[in-house]
Amino acid sequence: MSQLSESASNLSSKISFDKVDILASLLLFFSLLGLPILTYQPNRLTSGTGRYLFDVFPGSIGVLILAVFLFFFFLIVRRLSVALTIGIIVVAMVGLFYLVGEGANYVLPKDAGFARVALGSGFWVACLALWLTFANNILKLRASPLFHVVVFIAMSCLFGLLIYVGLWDALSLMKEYKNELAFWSHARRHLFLSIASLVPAIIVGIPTGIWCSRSKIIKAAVFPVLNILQTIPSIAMFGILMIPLTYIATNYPGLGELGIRGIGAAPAIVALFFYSLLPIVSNTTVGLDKLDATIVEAARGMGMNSRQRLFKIELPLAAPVILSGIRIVLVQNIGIVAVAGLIGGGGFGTYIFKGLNQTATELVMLGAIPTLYLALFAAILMDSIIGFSKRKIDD
Amino acid sequence: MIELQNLNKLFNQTHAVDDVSLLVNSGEFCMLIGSSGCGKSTTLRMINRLIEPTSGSISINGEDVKSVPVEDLRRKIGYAIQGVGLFPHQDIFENIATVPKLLKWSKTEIEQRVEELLTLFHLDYETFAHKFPHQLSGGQQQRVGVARALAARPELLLMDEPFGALDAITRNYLQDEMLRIQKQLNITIIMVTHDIEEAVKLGDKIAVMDKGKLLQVASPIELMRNPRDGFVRELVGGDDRALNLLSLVKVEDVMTPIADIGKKPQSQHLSDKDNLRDALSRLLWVGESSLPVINSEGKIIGNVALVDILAKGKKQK
Amino acid sequence: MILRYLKFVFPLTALILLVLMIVDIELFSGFFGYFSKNSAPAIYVRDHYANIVGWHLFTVFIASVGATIVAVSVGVFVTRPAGEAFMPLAKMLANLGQTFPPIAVLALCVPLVGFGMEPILVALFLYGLLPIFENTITGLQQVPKPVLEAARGMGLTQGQRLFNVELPLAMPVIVAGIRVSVVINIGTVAIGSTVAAKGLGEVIIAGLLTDNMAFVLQGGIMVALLAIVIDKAIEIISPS
Repeated sequence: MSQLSESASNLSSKISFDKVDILASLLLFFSLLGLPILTYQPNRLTSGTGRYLFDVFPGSIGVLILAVFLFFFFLIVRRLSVALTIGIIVVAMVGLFYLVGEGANYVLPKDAGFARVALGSGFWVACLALWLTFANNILKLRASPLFHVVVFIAMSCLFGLLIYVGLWDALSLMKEYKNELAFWSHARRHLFLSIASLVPAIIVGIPTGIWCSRSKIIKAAVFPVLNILQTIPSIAMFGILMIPLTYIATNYPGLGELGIRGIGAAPAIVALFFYSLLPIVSNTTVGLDKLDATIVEAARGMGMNSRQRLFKIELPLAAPVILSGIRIVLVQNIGIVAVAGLIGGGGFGTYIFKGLNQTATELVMLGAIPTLYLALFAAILMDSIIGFSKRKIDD
Repeated sequence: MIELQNLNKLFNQTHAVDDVSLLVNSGEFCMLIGSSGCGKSTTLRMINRLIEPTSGSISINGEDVKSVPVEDLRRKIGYAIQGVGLFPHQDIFENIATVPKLLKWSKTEIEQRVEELLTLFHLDYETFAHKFPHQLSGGQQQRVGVARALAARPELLLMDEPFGALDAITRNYLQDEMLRIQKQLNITIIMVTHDIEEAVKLGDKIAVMDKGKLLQVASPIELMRNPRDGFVRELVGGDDRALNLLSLVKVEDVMTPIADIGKKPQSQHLSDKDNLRDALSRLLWVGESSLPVINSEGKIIGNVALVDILAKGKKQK
Repeated sequence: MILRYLKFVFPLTALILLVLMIVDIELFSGFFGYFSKNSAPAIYVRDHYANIVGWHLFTVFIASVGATIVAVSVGVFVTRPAGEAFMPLAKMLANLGQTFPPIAVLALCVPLVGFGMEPILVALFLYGLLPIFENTITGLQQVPKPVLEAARGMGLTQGQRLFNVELPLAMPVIVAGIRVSVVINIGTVAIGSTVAAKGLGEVIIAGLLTDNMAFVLQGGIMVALLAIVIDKAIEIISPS
């Protein structure tokens, strides 16, 4: 009897489904069957016409590809061990990458001229579906925060390598990339601008936050100012900062030569500094304010002076909250730097606005996708650091 | 010796502590009792200057607490509180070592001291030293809290309702531990509580406070026998008082010894270390007017009669 | 005392300034004229400010209503037993919504939905999800267990518990999330004008393109005033 019920429960655990994986599988099939995986453009600036999986790989090859994906997803939905499932998903991702890269060669006529092949909505939705189930299974591992960073870097290397060896060379996106010789210098500039303002913001922001948590009056004076700074739109902030910076540059030529000019990097860095202050100051204040009063009381009662309390007890305990403030700032900066492209600040925003002006979709993507990627990487990296700072405090 | 003289504390015009004078001798276990908001915690916290008095003075061994820098003062006084306040980001070792580190003890000295303290509180060094506070039970956390307060061998320990948040069994156990440790280390303890049973059990001296005023300072027995009218009488339990009083006296103190020691008891009996309250309860339950008393070896050493017990519970002139 | 007084004086001043600027921007031509060079116009006159501010707010309103509906429904769903499996993923997606820079989302939307208001609606919608979603979950989770237990004991159905007990108790937290989301979006919506969305952003862009700081300043100041006023307005009407 007990054996019977045991085998019954085994059976039920075997056929129980993961809702997220099922949803993702359905999405994947819809995208592969119902949406164009590529688009064909007679030239760079015209909008394209969709090419479905069965257009690109007609007949039996298309059926074969679909069958392979079907098999993969049968395996995923079967709930194998999590590690194995993740492996299968990665293989499916590589397969999808290969599929569109190879498909572009099929679609592109030999004497192509100006014709282009771009990634279609089917590809993007399929990517989303695969990513959903990938993330779902990664989260199931409940691994250390560092693991997420390692996975992210490993995946970046894998797909970076696939693109590097020329898998996507037939795609319009890569053609834009090859046209833009300054891509990596813009990338460096984007990174530099995103980080350059962070250091001074931390140096100013954390002490200000500490001060605000100590004095209600300071807090009442500082927070409204920072709140207003935060509400000024980035494009306006860049513009407004041009006024004093142009003034400085024209009146102190020496400083102008150092790079302090009305357009370019200087307004971007100053603007980012202002935007960075509120999250850092307010998180520092909140982190210190919400500390368990008995802990601070105990530290005081044991004869720690205010400096010892601050550095040994309060700041370490508030670290996760302060670090979340820095996370917000870093991710936010990466986005705002893209806007700086509008005022000649450089970075990936340059491509976004150039692309928008020329209505060249692929050029927009060349700016937007790396921006998304950087923001995502910054978020995962910071989450990992925050996770570490939390570990000791509450498991 | 700790002496509080005419201590006053005003919070926005309200008298939180109103002209309190109290003398606690070295080696004494003094309980500060009263209902919440009566100023007992404020009084305690003025001793290590977590709160500065509005007026009045405090001296420890004749030395005014204001004559030493405040941090130095606090490092010499142990302090344990209800929420424990263990530092969650430091392990047990680091927590206990806090004050010795502040005092710049050597590494080996600190290690020795932590091990000594953990042993004193029946916590195994190997098991506990490198655990984090959240991995410990409430009772264990509180023991570490007291160990941390004792780390730098203070002569005075201040405790603010340290066992308030614990269940009855754990609380009872820790109270016994405190009695043992206080005897063993011969330190002075001032503890704040709102629980009269705790006060009677632990205190050599009980100071009752109400609305910021010190109403009565007395030994537990004295307090039971002659409580001041009003709050103190209510606190020690109007009609229960006789029973509370009995619980302070042991059977051996009232029994009539017998000549031929050594017999084993036939049936119902009492133990010499029982308190009179339990003895009375037993007598009533079995319906006898007297019962034999045995010692720790199980041999009869005397008799105790109902009348002897009743006499002890009577108000004394 | 003074602090409490300032709390009201400040937004009230902002409101008065904003109304004056909308009704008759010419009143400030002297001030803005100081920032325009080479006899360029100091005041943006291509459209009436009432119209511009109207579009600005309308865009934020549509995006915020959408974000609120989605975030609250998903928040309710993942706190029910049936939706628990989606909780980690939903949290991650909402997080991602705010990780993706609005300018990148905006640009990527243009090929899909064209120029105008639509791309910025998508960007704002995604950007505004997280605060509302997070607060919905927090609000629902911090409803005291005994209260829910009592509601169950009195025979309320699951739906009744949700609408009569849980949501009303969580409402202040949810509204706080909406407030954060709306205020962020009032500033963010300005970048929509880089892809021809109407609103105060177009004034700023016009200023940047013609190197006319008076326009940039006008647009920037009005957005900030708008954010201060709306923030206070939501605070006043929100349940406590």
